[in-house]
Amino acid sequence: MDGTDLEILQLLVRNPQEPFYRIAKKVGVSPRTVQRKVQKMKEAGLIHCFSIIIDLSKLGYQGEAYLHITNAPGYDKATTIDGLKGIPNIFLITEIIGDFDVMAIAAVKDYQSIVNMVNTIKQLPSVEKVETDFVTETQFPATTKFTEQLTPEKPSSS
Amino acid sequence: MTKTDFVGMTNMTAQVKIDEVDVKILRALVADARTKLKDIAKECGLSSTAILNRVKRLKAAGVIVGSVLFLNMNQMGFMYAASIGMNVKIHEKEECLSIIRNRSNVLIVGESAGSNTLRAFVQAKSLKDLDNLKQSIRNQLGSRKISVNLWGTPQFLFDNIELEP
Repeated sequence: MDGTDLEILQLLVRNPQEPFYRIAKKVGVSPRTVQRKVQKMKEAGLIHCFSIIIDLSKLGYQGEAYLHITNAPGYDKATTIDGLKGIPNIFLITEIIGDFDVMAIAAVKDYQSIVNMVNTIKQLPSVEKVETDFVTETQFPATTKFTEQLTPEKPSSS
Repeated sequence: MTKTDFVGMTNMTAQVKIDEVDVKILRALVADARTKLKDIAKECGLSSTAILNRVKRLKAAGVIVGSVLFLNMNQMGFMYAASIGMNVKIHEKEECLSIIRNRSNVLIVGESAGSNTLRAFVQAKSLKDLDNLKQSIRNQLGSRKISVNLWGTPQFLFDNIELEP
């Protein structure tokens, strides 16, 4: 990653929808170069994706559930993760090293939908225990605050 | 229609009515916020102007509130991502929130109802950095319980969200 890449990245973090021709003007290269560099950063896996932020409270959701899952003995985390993938409204799953094994974040409409979701998860054979934290955050898939905090710096290794 | 509200959720936001086309637009933009309007238009069998007007309407109604770039933070040198759960006394909640909110490396912090009062999502370049962050939060909060849970590589399943007209 060179200096221009970093500048492009910083502009894209601030405004993920900024047209390439405007970015090109700001960093002093051609729009094609911007496009090529962004494509490269995508291929290298540095850029995961561009997404819009939706306020789900406007669409009938009341918050998010953080589902902390402990695996049953003898099962690996991948089995649980596969089982979670098919459950509607779970939009992020990650392995965890710490108090439990797998964490999932789900958008929730109301109390009943949390109860139903937890029951569905508990029926997975690889799941021993589910603990739920509820947050009133409804911005999906990230918050605008998250975007403000994210400032790419030049990695010290390169 | 009455709905069961959660603790602390006294006012329900007015819901915005959306139709099938709006759902298609939202799905396309969640998958890639840089999708060209003409591509969405083609898929919906409408004009680009019609799609643009709908996007404007969704923004004005507060359904679309911004956009985000998801970076692979490992490649940015942040090798560790973690959730930090904190148990603080209810009357100290606001103060703790404001202290933690302003720390670098803390990407998200908010109130939570469940086993923790507050939860934060943080990133760090090394385990040492992560530990320093944890210790400094602990120093600020006193002896309250803090739990740190290290993330593996998260899988995003944005398509799983149910958007219904």
